Amino acid sequence: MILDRRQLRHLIRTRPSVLVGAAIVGVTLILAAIGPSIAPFDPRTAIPGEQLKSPGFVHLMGTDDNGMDVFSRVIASPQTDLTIAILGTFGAIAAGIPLGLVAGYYRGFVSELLMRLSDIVQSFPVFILGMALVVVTGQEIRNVVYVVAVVNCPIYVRLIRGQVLFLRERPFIEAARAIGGRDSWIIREHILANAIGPVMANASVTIGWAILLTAGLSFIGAGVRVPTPEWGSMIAVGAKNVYTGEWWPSVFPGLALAFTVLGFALLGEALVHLADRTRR
Amino acid sequence: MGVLLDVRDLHVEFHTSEGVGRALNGVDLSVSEGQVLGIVGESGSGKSAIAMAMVNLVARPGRIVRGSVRYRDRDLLSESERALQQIRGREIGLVVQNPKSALNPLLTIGRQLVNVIRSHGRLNGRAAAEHAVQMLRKVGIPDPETRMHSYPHQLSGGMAQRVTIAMALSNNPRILIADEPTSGLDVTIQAQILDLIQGLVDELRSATILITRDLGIIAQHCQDVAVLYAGRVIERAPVRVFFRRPLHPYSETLIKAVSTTRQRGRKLMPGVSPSIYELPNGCALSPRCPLVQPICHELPPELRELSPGHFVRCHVRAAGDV
Amino acid sequence: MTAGRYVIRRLVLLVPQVLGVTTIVFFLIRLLPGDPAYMIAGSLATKDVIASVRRQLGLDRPIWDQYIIYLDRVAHGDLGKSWLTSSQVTQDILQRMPATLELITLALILAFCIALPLGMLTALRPGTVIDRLASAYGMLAGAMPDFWWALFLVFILFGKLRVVPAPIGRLDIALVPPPQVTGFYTVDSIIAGDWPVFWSALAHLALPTFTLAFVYAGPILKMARSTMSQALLGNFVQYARASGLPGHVVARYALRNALLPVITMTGITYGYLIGGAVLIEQIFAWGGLGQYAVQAITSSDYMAVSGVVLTTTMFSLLVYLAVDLIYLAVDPRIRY
Repeated sequence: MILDRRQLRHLIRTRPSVLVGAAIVGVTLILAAIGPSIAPFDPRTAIPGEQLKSPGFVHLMGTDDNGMDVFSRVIASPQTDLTIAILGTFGAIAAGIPLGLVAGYYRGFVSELLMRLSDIVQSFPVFILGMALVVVTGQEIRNVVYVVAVVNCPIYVRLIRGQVLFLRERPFIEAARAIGGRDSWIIREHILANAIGPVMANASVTIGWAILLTAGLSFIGAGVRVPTPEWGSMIAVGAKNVYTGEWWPSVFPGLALAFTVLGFALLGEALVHLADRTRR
Repeated sequence: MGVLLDVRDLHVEFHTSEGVGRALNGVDLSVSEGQVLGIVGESGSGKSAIAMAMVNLVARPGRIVRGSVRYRDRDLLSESERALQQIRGREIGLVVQNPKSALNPLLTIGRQLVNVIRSHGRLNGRAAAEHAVQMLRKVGIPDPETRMHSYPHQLSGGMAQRVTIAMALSNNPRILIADEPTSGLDVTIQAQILDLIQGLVDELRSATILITRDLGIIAQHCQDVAVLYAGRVIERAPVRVFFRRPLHPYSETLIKAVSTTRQRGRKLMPGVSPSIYELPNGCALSPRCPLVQPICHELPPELRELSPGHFVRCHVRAAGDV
Repeated sequence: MTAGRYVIRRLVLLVPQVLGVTTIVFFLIRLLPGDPAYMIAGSLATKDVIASVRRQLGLDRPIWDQYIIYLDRVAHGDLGKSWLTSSQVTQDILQRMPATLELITLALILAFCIALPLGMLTALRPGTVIDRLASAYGMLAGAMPDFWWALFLVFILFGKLRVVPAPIGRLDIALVPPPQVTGFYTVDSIIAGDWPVFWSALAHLALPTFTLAFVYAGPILKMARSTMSQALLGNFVQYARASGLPGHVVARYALRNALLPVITMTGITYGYLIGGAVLIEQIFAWGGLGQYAVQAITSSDYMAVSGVVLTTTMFSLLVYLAVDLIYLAVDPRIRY
């Protein structure tokens, strides 16, 4: 799915939001890399005596009731959240591709079984499944990654399978078979190459959801552990203060979370739209 | 016999990621009462856009950018949607290429037919339903009372087309536009459908515009023919004159391509129609025309009447070189 | 395939789905590292209690036996005992289920009533201000975390403006819930004719319902707008226009066809909501299934967790079944 200049310009013209999305994603990626290093205060340390200071020059976003600087923690969170989201999404894709290929290319019992299993996993309400899996495997970052991967895997299995089913009946595949190409070669060269576009496009959207899932899990205390900076757990910590009027420990991470997820969603949506059209 | 529909200088553009496609580049044609005009063209000629353009229904990303479509003193391109709604389906009927996709899959054909009848105001309730049954019978659908309750996906292509013909003619329109009504249908059904259309139109004394890529259909059913190439009419003549002596080099190629008595040695025009995104300057045929002269690359030719009723758009022919 | 056969086929499909779900939940517990009896009994249990739990659950038997026992228990509605509440999980769940159902059902209805007309309207008037606003809303709502919105709205509407009651449950502390008929406070209070309770229940429902509806209307709106726009470009819509059908009839034609994917999306949202409401319940101290789930998670109450997972997933499956049956009713292409 290589974009030529003209398509890119048309994309920007018809969907200017893609620029916003790309910008947000860019900023978030940069923060994920250097966030903790450029933070004015150590995101994991509480400063004694500095609890619940309202936003000002020193503490741009104020401090929470543990005395930790909100701004530093907000910009340090992407490292946590994005790592989990990207690794998890990557895991979902890495597992989904071979399973989807098998389910689509080879008809019969195995394929049916895979699809039924995929359906069943998708029947579990996402959040509940996430919570349960974290409980069962233990509350560590590594396990949250696994949870993200498992929960999103069926989407990619279905996506790849759909692509395979669509492509396998195409004349060029029959032609490839006719000239004696081996199955695995056909899968790699033709089907995979064609299927990768929608997968990459959906990855952005999935990453956005994964961030939301991580934040939600952390909010109820089933995700990342304190004091690791993470937007969801920050919102949880600040929740009780909202009722008494100190809004900043919760609102700022919430805004950051919303913007980031939005950015990934905008970018992803534009890419999906593009992938759909280049396919046709 | 007055002119019913007069299309002048019609331009339609498509703005897509490929650029600006010029589908129609100044189409002029007209049709009078009782006349059957055939419009013939290949892919890229603009014939897919012309039917909808004539009733001002060009969908995005297409746009009508210039021209007029005069129906009895009114320019359809500047009328309000409300006024147009009265004209469409009532004064001008439309039959399209894929009849099954033209029908709403979730409603019975009876319901759809009745909707069209009722929306043009004259009948309602029971009377409309009866008229619908009558129309279905007229278009040759067996057991119409039962068929009223069928869904489009239950019909064959030929049946579905009969239904759309019934819809198009149910309000006795003055003009019927048939946009490739038989493409996609089996050959034997094609003949039936065309005969059906011809019979009904004769009975109603409507004018017909028949858009097709099949010269055979033109020969059998039309009185006049207009040849479309790259969004312009390049030849216009009564059918018999056209087939006996086509004047435009492209028309010659068209006829030769299907003629059973193809003369050896007379080659067909090489090349393909230009993409609507990249039209050549000057005459649209200049890249491939065997008669091409320097002026053809510079200046687009005008449509000239070279003999009574016979119009041709070609520098070379107009200059008298035969 | 006739309608009847389709329904039967679809119902039959439910069996392996239910079986698959229960099996996965079974393995969720059994494949844990460590001693399941210890974890199920709870961290406060003594050695004797653990031993008796082990015997009770048949953990000393081979895994296949355990599976059969488990299936048998579930089929009889026995989901084990919660070590946190010390009562049967099934009872706990049944007690709390109505609270959650009332919340998410109202939220879904509200979301649908916002999203569908808005989606339709904006598809009919593309490029206008309302269209742009609606598509911005569709995008944003899906991205915003619902729990954050809840907090933010509580802060503004309760903390600052005092227009909604405190987020401490379903009713005013002073009021007594109506006698249980459905478990829905709104319905039961009407049945009992207890108007003060009705209004209080409604007031307490207002903010959490609105928050959920606000966030979850987003994806439905996006779907409605997109399918409606697509339907409007469809061949049959063009033809309907060309046949001179008036604008509102054309819109109805398009809507009918656009509705189906929207219904699917709504169904998916409903299934998602039963999990998604967890966070909202936590914030509003709702006392429903979600809060129970959170308690169970944070105290590692395995029987309760697996009970909740099982119940909510069954709910999901039933919702999907309902969606399929609706499709059957609306789309003639499936029937004939």
